[in-house]
Amino acid sequence: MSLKFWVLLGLTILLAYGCGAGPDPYGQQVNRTTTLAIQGQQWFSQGDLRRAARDFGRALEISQSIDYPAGVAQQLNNLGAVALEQGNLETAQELFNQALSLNQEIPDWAAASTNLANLATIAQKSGNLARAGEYLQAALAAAERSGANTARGRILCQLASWYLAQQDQGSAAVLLTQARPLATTPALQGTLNHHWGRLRLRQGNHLAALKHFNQALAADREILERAAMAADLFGLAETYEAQGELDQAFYYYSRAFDVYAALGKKARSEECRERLRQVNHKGRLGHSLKRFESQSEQTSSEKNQPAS
Amino acid sequence: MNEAFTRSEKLAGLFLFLTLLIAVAALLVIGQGKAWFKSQRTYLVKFRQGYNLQPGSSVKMFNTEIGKVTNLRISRLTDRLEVVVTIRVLAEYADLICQDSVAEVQSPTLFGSEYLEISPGSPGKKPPIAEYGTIPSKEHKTLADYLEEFQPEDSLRRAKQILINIAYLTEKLKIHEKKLLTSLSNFNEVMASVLEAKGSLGKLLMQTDFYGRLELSLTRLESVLKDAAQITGDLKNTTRDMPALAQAVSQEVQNVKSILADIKQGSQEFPELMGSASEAARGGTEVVDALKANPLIRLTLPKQPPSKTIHVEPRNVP
Repeated sequence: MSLKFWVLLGLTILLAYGCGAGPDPYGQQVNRTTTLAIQGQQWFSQGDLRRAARDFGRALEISQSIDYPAGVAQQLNNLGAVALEQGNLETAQELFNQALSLNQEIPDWAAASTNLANLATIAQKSGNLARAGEYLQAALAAAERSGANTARGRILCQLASWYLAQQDQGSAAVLLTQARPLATTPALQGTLNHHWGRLRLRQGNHLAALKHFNQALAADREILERAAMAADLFGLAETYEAQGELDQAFYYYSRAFDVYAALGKKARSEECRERLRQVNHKGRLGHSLKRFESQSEQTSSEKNQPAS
Repeated sequence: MNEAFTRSEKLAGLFLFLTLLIAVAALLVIGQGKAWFKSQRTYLVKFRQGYNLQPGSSVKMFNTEIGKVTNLRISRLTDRLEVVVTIRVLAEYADLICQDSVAEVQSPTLFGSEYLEISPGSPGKKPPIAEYGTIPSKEHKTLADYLEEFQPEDSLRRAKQILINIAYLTEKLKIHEKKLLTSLSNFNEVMASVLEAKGSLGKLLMQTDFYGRLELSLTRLESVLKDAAQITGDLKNTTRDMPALAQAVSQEVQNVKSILADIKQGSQEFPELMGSASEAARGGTEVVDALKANPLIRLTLPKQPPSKTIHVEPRNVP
């Protein structure tokens, strides 16, 4: 028997198997939901919230129509994330709560921990740090229940961030040390290094802070997490400013400004512009701020029109 | 007996076969040109007379031949005798022959022969005429008909009346001739008095300085009139351009109207178009899904990353 014969026989069997593939309409619809959700996540990452909401909405509709609770919960959470980015905290909270209820019923504890972490972000943004702490404790419990290392690592990082917000650097360091072995994905490595950078900056260890922010930037760039990249650049700029290297600080603030402006994050880009003005004045750098002023006015508000 | 054909028999057979083949091909080519093989429909048209139509006369629409007259006969079925013309029209044009189509015999201007012109109906609005149905007709006007319309007797009667009126007016003028001569003699006398500078009008006309002043005034008036003429000329030029301008504006308005009509029509068709497009897209997605379901293809496809539940970190929140 020649090799040609066996190859032909194999191909024939494969072809016959392929022709005989049974239809799987439910699987097809689930795949479609996944495709739409991934597309929405890409829009979300690019800061195009209107398109992100559109795709998450479609994925939600399909998930509801085919009775796919995991998909429904995920899209409710993602729509909540869009609302949170748009500053619509009430809607975001409602959507995260709906997603949480569903994930608890399914049960999907990893996803539930993310819902709770998002609720904590809302509370922290509203200035209710105590409530944020409660949500994070619940999120940590859910993550431990899920047994997923990434979920646990993610919550530990956010909890460390919460402690940092309360100037509790010791607790933050403990949590970040606990999270270190769990950071196996680039996303988590980026988050972990960013918070280490913030901690080191607070501690006045500028060299270590620069190292962590650069590592965070590399990890976030790998997965093209634009908002996280901008935060890393901002961290680098703050560190250089604290070190007294104002020219470098100006350079990194301008890079952070560009990314925030492209994402349509007006508040953040204005914060960068203000820092640029201060650094330029303090260091007598003599840079022109015209570009930042005009760009700040144009910061794509249309991209982030609240989606219906 | 199993004798083989000789060479000459084979040649003769081949020749006959080829001849037959050529004849059939020629028949096919001619038949194609003459539309023998095209589907045709038969209709009837009724006229008061035949208007020199003959079997074989053309049947046209938009001056394009769409069929032939096949038969003419005089019908005795009704009280009024009429000529029934049978025509055969190519089936592809049958949808244009509707209830509102009108058949009329057309005469050539100088050369050629009469033919039957059928006006197109309104497909979609009016139902098409069924085969062997009668197409509404319009009688062809002959020279006698036109003369009858002209009504020469009536025109002559009117001319005669005009001449009578002229004669009457002439008579009337003769009666008043005497009065006219008297008036002219009185006018002569008045003119003589004026020339002798008698009376207020005569004095006025015969004063020389008055003419000097009048000349001056006239010179001024002339200059004013010249200016006025220039202004009028300019105005005339402007006015001359006005129709062209108005025409251009009207043309533009028409264009805009036509564009608006197109947009309106387009907007009406748009939802349908979108529906079709989305249906096509859905079909495409289904095909792609089906392809993806095939294990052979699935093996070679890159693995789709799982969708994730988005975690919004505080550092990313605006």
